[in-house]
Amino acid sequence: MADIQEKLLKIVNEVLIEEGKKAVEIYNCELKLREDLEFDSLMLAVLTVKIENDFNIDIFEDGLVYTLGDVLAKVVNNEVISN
Amino acid sequence: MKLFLIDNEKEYYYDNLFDIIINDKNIYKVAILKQEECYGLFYKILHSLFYEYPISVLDFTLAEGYSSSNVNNAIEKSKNIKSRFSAFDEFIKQLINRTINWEVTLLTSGTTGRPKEITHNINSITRNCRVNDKHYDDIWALAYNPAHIAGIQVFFQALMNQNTIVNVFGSFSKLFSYLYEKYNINRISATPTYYKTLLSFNDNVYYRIKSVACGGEKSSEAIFNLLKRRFPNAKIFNIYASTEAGTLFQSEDDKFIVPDSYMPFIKISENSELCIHKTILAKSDSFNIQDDWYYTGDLVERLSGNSFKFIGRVNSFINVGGYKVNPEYIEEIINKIEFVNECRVYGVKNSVIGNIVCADIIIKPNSELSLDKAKNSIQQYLKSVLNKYEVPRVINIVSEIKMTITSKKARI
Repeated sequence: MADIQEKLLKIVNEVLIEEGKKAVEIYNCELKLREDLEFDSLMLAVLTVKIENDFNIDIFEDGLVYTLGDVLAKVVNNEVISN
Repeated sequence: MKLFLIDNEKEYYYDNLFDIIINDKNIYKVAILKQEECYGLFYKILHSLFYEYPISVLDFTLAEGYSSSNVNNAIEKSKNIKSRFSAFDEFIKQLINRTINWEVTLLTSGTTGRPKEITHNINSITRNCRVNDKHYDDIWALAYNPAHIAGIQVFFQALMNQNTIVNVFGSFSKLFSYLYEKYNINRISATPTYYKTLLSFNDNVYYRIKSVACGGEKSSEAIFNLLKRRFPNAKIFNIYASTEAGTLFQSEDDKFIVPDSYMPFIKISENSELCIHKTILAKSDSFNIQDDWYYTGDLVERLSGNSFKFIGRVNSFINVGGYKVNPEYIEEIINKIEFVNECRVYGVKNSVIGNIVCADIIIKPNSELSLDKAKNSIQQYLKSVLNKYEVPRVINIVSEIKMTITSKKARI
C-alpha cells in the first residue's frame, strides 16, 4: 500500500508540475483533486492516462473520484482483484 | 524487351505473363522479386483486362490470395474464355482508348473508419493517366500498396506507356537506394508519410528522379521543401485523389486549383467540406449522397477564385471535451520544432474528456537533447503556441511512426 501511495504521489506531482503548479510533499488522502489541488478536466484526463499506464485501471470509469483517497482506493481495490 | 514488374529484393525472372495470356513469348517480359503478392495482383488485373471480366480486390485477399498458385487457378478458369484481342499491341491500343469493358472493386483505405467497397471502370480509374512519347523511358517506383487505388493507378500509367515498375512499397533506406540504382528509377509517386520515412533514413539526394508525385494525405510547405532538396531535378506534384472519385486535381504546391471543366462537379459545403457531384463518382452502395452531392470528408479552405487548400479529414478530428482538434494542424506545428524529425498526432479515448490528444515523435538523430528534456521542451513550446485543449497531453518519443497499410499515418 505504501508502495502504491508513493507511485501515485509521483504521478500526481508529475501532472501538477507539467501544469506549472506546486508539487505536494505528502499523499494526503483528504486533499480534493479539483478544489485543493486545482485539477481541471484536462489534468484529470492526464492523471487517468498515467495511472492506467502504471496500474491498468481507468479510475474515472464510473466518475466517482473526488479526493486523493478515492484515487488510492480505486487502485488498491483493483490490485486486490487482479491478484 | 522491357522488364515490366520488379518486386523488391530476391530476384527471379518470370517470362510467361503475357505468354500465358496471348501465347506470344516475345512481347513482354516480367521480372518478379520477392513479393509474389504484387505480381499475382497485377497479373490478375492484366488477365481480367485481356478477357474483359470484372474483378474485386476482396476476391484476392479473402478467397484466392495473390500467390502464384492462385494465379495458376485463374489461368485454368480462363481457358474457356475467349479474348477479342489477338495481339498485345491491339490490347494496349484499346486500353489507351478506354474501350475495354472492365470493372474493379476496391476498398477505401479506412484511415479513420471502416473501409468501403468502391467499383471503378476503366474510364474512372485511368482518368489522369497520360500516354505520350515523354513517358517512353519512365521507370516507376511503386510506393503505394498495390491493392489500393493509387497503386493501381501507377500500374495503369506504366502499362499504357509500357514502362517498368519497381515495387518499393514498404522499402526504405538502403533497399530503396539499391533499387533506385539498379533499375534506374526516374519517377515516384507516394504519400507524404512515405517520403518523410524514406528521407529520414539517409541523406541521399536522388538526382535521376524527374517526377515526384505526392498524394493521399495533406501535404505542407515543409514536405515540398524537403522533396525539392532531395529530388532536385524533379518536377513535384501534389495530387488530390480519392478511392471514390479517382484523381481529381493536381498542383505544384499545397494549393489546388479546380479546372474550369470540373467546376460544375465540385462545391465546398457550409462547413468547409469538399463535395463531389455524383456524376463523376465510381459506383458504390456505401456513398453518403445528399442532393446528388457526395461529401468527401475532406475539409478545405477556399483561397482566391477556384483555388483551395486541404486542411484535414472531418473524421480525423479529435473531440476533446467538445472542442474539435485537427491532428494535422498540430503535426505541422510540431514538425517546425528544430530537433523534430517526424510526428503523428492521434486521439485516445478518455473517460474524463472523451478523447485525449497524444503525439508520437521521432527526434532527429543528431539531436543532443536527452529524451526527457526533448519531451519537456516540446510540451512547453506547444503550451505557448496552442490552445490548452490542443496540446498533446501524452508525448511518446519513438523510433518509427505507425502507418496504415496504405502508407498513411494511422489516426486511431
